[in-house]
Amino acid sequence: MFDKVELAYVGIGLLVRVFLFFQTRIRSYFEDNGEFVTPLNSWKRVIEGIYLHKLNVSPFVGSIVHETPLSLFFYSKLHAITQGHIESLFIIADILTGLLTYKIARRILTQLSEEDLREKEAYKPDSKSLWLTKDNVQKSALAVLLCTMINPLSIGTCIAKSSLVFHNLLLTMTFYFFITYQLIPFVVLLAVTSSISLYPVVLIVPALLQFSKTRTTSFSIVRALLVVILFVLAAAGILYLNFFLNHQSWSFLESTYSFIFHVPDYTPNVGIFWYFFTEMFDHFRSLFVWTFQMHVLLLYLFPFAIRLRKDPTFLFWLLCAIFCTFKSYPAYGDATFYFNYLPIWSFLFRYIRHTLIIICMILIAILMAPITWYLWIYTGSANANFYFAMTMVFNVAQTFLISDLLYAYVKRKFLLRNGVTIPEIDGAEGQLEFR
Amino acid sequence: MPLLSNLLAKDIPQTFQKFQLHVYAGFFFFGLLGFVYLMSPIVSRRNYLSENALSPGLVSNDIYISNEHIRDIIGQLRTGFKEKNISDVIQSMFVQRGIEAYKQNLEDDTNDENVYGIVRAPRLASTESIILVAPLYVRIQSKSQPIKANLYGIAHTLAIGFALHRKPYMAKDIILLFPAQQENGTRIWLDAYFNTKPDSIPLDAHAGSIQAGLTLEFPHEKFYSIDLRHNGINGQLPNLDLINTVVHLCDKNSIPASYYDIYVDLSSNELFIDYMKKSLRTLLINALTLATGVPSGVHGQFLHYRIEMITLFGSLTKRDQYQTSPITLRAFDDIIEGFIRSLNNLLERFHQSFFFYFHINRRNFVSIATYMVPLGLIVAPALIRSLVLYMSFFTSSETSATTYITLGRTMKFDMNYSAMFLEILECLALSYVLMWIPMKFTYLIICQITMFISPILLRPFRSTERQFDYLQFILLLTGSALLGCLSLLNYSMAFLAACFLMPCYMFAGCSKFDHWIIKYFCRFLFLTCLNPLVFLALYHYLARLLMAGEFLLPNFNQLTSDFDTYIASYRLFNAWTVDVVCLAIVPIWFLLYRSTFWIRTLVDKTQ
Repeated sequence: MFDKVELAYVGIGLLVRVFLFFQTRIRSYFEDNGEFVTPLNSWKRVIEGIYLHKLNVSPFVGSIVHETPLSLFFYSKLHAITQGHIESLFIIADILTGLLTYKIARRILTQLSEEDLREKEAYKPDSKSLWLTKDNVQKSALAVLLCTMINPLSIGTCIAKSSLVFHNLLLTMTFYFFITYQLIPFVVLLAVTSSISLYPVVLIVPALLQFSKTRTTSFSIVRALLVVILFVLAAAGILYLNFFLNHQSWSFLESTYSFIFHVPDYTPNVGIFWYFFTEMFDHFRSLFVWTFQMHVLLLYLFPFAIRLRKDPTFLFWLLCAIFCTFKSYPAYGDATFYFNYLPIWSFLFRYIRHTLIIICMILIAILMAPITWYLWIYTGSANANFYFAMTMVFNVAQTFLISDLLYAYVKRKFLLRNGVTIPEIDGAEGQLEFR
Repeated sequence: MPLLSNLLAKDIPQTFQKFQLHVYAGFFFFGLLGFVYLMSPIVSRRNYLSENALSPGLVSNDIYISNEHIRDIIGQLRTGFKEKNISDVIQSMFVQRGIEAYKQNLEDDTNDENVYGIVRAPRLASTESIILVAPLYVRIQSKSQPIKANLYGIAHTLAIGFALHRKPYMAKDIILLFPAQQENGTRIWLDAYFNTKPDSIPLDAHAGSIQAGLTLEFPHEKFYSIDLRHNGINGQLPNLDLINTVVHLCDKNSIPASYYDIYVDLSSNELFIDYMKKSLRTLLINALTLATGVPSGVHGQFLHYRIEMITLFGSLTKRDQYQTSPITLRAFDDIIEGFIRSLNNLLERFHQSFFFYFHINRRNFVSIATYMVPLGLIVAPALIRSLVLYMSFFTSSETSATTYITLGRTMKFDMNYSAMFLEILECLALSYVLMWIPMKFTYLIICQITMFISPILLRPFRSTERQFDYLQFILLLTGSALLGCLSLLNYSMAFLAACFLMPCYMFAGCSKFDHWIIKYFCRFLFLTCLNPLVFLALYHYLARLLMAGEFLLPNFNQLTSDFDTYIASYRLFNAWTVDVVCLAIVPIWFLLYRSTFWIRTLVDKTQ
C-alpha cells in the first residue's frame, strides 16, 4: 500500500505526536495557548458541553459551548467509546488528514500534468520548461506528505486537542470528493463542514464550476442548479438534524452561527477581528461586523470565480486560504490546512516574488507571538499592541502568500499559451504597462 | 508592490562583494561603540515622574519616630536573634500594638519561620495593599561573615508599621513581611500567598491585592548612602516610576543614592571624564548582571508576581569627602513614609513609565528605543549576509543579447536536505547533553573537548560550497531570530549573545576561503577565542574588574566557585538563562564550528 519513504514520513509524524502527548508540560502549554485554541474549537469546552448534555442541561445556555449539536453528539460518542482517552483519536484524525492530503496532492498534480499533455498543441513550444513532469508530481506529493507530518503548527494543533483537527479532516474529505467528482458525498460533507464553521459555504462556487462541466459544454445550467438544490437540501437536512438533536430547540443557532458571525468573544487569537472590535465604539459595530464578514465571504468570491473559472481546483484552495486567514476566530490549525497544500504549487514558486519576506514574516510572527503574550500577560511590561502586531504580521504574510500564488498561477497560464519569450520593442525588453 | 522581488546575485554591487567582510566588521564595531556611547549625556534621558499620583509623598511628612523608640525595638530584636526566637519576638511586638501578625513555617529541617503582619487600612475594605519586606538576614560582601542580621531594616520597618497603624489617611493595607532564608523564604511565602503550588499550605490571612513595595536591607547600625538594587529574574525590571519616586525622595532628604555602589555626583563639581567613567561602569555592570537572569535581592521574586519592588541597601561607603556623619534616622524614615504615602495615593497599577531601560546613573536612563539601535547594528551583518546568500541561490531567465526569456527565479542547484538535517540533529543532540550533566566546570570542559574532537570522531557531512552556503543561510536566520526574541525578553543577554555569536558567524563564513591556512586559523579561533567557556571566563573577569573598579588579576578558583554559586541560585529562581544558552546558543556555535569542516575542497576544484 505504501512505499518505504511514505511509511517513513508517516512514522515520523506518528512518533512525534505520540511522544509529545506524553509530555504533560508541553501539552498543557499548547492546550492553553490562544494561538492554537479558540472558543470555537477548544476541547475543554467540548468536554463541558458533553457534561452539561449528560446532566440534561442545554449546553447552549451559557457562552461556553460553540459546537453544533451534531458535532457535540459525535464527540460525546467518541468520548464514551474511548472512555475519555481521546488523544489517540486526535492523532489518528491528524494522520488521516495527512494521508488524504497526500492523495489529493497526487491527484491534483496528475490532473494538472494530464491537462498539460492534452493542451500541448495550444501551448507555445518554448514554454516547455514550465510543463509539469512525472518527476515533479512524485516529488511535490511526497513533500506534501512530509509537510503534513512535521509541520509544527499542525502538530501543535493536534497536541492542543483542538477540534480543528476534526474540522480539517472533514474539509479535507470535502476537497477529496471535490477533485474525484463524487457529487453526493461532496455535497453532504460540504453541508456538514459549513454547518460547523459557516465559512466553507463559499466553496459551493468552485463546486458549481467543477460539477457543471459536461463533455460537451463547460458550464451546464441544469447541472449547476442540481448542485445548488442538492446543497440546499443537504444543508436543510443537517440543520434539521441539529434541531432534532438539540431536543427540538433552535437555541444552538445563537451560540454557533451568531457567535461566528457577530464575533462577541474578544479572546486574542491570530486573527484581526479581536483587536479591531475591542478598539471600536459600539455604535459602529454592526457596520464593521458586516464589512468584515462580507470581506471574507463575498469580496473575493466573484472576481476570483470569474478569473479562475477554468481552474476550480485552484479556486477551491484559494478560497479555503482566504477564509482560513480572515475568519472571525482563526487559529494556527486553520492556517495549516492550506499551508500543507503549498508544496503542490511548487511549480509556481519560480514566479513568487516575496518568498524571503513571507518566510521571515511567518517565522517572526510564530516565534514572537508567545513572547509578546508573555510580556503582556505575565510580566506586564508590554501591552496588547505588541501581541496584535504579531498577529498582524502573520496576517499580512498570509495575504502576501495568497496574492503571490494567485499572481504566479495566472502568469504561468499566460506564459504557457503565449510563450516565455518577451518580444523586443525598440531594441529593448518589452514591458507591459497598466493604464 | 514587488518587495525585493528580483533578488539575484547579479544585483549585488561588485564593490560590496569585494568589501563584504569590512562592512560586516564595521557594523559589528559600530554596534559595540554605539553601546558604549549610550552613557553619553546626549542619548540618555533625564528621569521624571510619569504618574502624577505619586507626587504627594514628596511634599511633607507627618510621622515622627524617636531615636529611643528605635533603640528599644533594636534591643528586643537583638535578644530575639541571640535566643533564636526572632519570629516570636516580632510577632509579640505586633500583637502588643493590636496589629494582626502570623507566622509561616518553611516546612524544612531548619525550622525557620517567616513572620508577617498586616496593618489594615482604617477607612476602606482591604482591596489594595503595599508591602514592606525586611529579610531577617542579609548577605553582605565580607569574607568572614557572609550573612548578617538585618537589625536596622527590621526595626525601621516595624517602627513605620506601628506609626502608620490607625492613621486616617491610609487607604491601602500595609503588609510587613520578614522572610527567613532570604530568597527561599520569600518564595515560599509568595507561593503560599498566591496559592500557586498545589501542595503549599494557604496562609492565615491575606490583605488586598499587592500593588508595590520596598525591601529594606540595613545590616549596619549606621550607613552613609543607599544602594538601589533593581535587577529581577531573567532581566525583568520594576517600573521606572517606582525607582524615580525613591530617587526623588533620596534627593529631597540629601541621601546619596547609588547603583551597584557607584555614586555619580551630579553637581557641577565632578569632572566630566569622571562622570563618563562612572556612567559607563554602571551601564556595563547593568548589562553584565542583568544577563545572568539572577535577581539582586528578594525583590526579584515579587517582580515575578507583578509586584513592583526594589531593594534599598544601607551602604557603609561615604560618597563625599565632606560627609562625616551617617544618615540621620529622620531622613531615612522620611523616605519610607514618603514612599508609602505616594503609593497610598496611586489609583492604578504602575503602567505609565518604562519597563525597559538601562540606568547610567540615578538621574539618567536610556530607554528601549535608544538601546535597541546598537544591538540592531550588531545583528545587521547576519541579516545582510543572509540576504546576500539568498540572492546567490537563484538564477533568473538567461537573457542573451537578442532574446528575453521570462522563466522566473529558480534555484541554481538541487539541495540535499537530509544530510544537512542529520548534521543539525547531531549537533543538537550533542549540545543537549549539557542539559543533563551536572553543571560543574570540569564536566563542562570535558563536554567542550568532546565537541571539539567530534568532527574527527563523527565525520561531518562533506559538501559543496553551495550547500555550505545554504546551511549558513539557515543558521544566520535562526541566529537572528533567536537574538530578536531574546532582545525583548532579556536585552542584556541578547547583547552578550550577539557579541559572542557574530564573530563566530564571521569566522565560520571565512572558512569558505580556499586556503588551508585560513581554514586552520578559523578552527583555531573556534578553539581559543570563540569558545563559550573562554567567553564565560572573559565575562567573569570583566564583571569582577567593573565591580571592583580597580585592576585585578584573573583568578580561576574564583571563577569556578562563582559559577557553582550561580548554578545553585539559578535553579532556585526559575531563571532560564542556562537553558537558553544550552538549548540555543551552544548548538548554533557548535554547528558553526562543525561547518568549518564542511567544504570538500579538492572535489570542488575538479568540478
